[in-house]
Amino acid sequence: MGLVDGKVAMVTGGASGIGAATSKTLASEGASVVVSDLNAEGAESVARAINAAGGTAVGVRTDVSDPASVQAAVAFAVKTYGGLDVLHNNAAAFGADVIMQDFNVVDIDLAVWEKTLAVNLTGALLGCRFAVPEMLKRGGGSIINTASVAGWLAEDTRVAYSVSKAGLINLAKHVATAFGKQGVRCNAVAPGVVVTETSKGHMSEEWINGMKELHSTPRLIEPSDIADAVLFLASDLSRQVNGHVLTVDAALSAHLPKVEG
Amino acid sequence: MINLDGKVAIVTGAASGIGAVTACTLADAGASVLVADLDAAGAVRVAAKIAGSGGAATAWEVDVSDDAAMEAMVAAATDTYGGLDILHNNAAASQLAGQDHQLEDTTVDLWDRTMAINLRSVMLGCKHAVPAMKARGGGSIINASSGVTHGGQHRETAYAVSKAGVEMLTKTVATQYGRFGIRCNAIAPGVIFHDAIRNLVPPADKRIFEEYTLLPRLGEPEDIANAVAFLASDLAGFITGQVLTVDGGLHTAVAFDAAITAAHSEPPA
Repeated sequence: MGLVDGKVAMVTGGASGIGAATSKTLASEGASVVVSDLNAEGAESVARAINAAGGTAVGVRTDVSDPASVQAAVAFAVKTYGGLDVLHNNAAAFGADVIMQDFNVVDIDLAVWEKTLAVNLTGALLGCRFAVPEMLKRGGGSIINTASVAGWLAEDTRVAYSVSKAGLINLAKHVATAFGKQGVRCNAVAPGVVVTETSKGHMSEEWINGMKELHSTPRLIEPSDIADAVLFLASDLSRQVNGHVLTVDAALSAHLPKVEG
Repeated sequence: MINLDGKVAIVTGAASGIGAVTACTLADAGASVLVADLDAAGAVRVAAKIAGSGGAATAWEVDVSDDAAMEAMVAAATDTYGGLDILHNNAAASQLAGQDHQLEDTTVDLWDRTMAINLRSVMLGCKHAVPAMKARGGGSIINASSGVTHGGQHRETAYAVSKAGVEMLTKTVATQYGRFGIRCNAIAPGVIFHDAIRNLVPPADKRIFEEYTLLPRLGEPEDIANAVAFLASDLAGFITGQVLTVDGGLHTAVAFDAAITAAHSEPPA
């Protein structure tokens, strides 16, 4: 028996990385999955892989920064599978023109700031806005936002990314507070450094090795690690977990850096 | 279902309440369980219940505050089942809660006994489990913390401080032994209505918990057991050094904000 048998899930940013891993994991545990992404071909491709493996999935193109597009994606999920139980707000602006231009408060171009917040944060707000009424019709549901340890630990750069992730944490607590009594749970998952096909291009070998030192386990985080945490939060195993930030970072944020000497 | 096939687990404080339910849940998921408790007869009952439903369990009497007894407990698991993969440090001095007041009324004896049973016990459990888990190439330790660590407490001074210690111990073990594949996390329950406390909570208090819990119902032992099973399993393979809050959102909302909102809202017609 799967952990999310019979549930309908939508994963934004589902075409690659953490979103693709989550889509596959939720499907392999029994959910019908709407793989949502700006990259329609990528979303279709993940859905095809899920169907080929015996699961149930469909791809849909979504621009999470556009209210009409998110509304249409939720309506598509409901029309296709009869309702919505799980939403993974995972889409983030990871194009090199955004993440590689996301500097400190003095140097960041306002367009980069606005694009980052529009996709990462407003996108999740819109997901919640259109998913919550559908979940209320089903008597409840589970929303999971992809935050980051960068949501409470600062860097000397990437101010827009970090602030968007901090916002995602409080957005989760707000939805948990506002709709929990009606059965809609909302939590965040906070990864440490996850090396995906997309993020790999933005990381030097040196930087990755430095990060390996800061993570306390023998290896770096993989997308499937995050997918498993999302699976827990999506499932009834976590039915009393609400407003929580589940950190999946191999203790990156649990300790002070070790300084030799 | 969570799959713990072939894993060996110890649950302390497993004769009743949350520990007993957790022991059963881990066994249902396929683990062989050492049911450890100071209450030997209770441990035997829980182990028998597990065996009766086809699981593998052994009862073990232990005083969790005693170094030699904790070493022997880990040895019992490795001798009986060939190793140790999961340790749930769950035992706590709930029987002392009634004497645990404000600071001025906190006796040294109460403080020391609380620390011995709630905190030294967890240190000893981790200390003796780590070598056994290293020998297996890794393992998962889950410590019982509490929602009381979210803020200052008006009473239960010793209890609250002991649980804050459990959380830092958790991060310390995660930091020191992560490289050996040993994960260490804590669970912070909110209010869980299990048999031992169900009749002790006054109805007025229960209504307050219902009001401030963000979900439609209060927590049950199964909620904690499921969270332990998750952290014990490979699904949580990259989660370490964390405190997983399982409280229905009890500590998420700003409490005084709800009181202000209520004060300003129209009385019900």
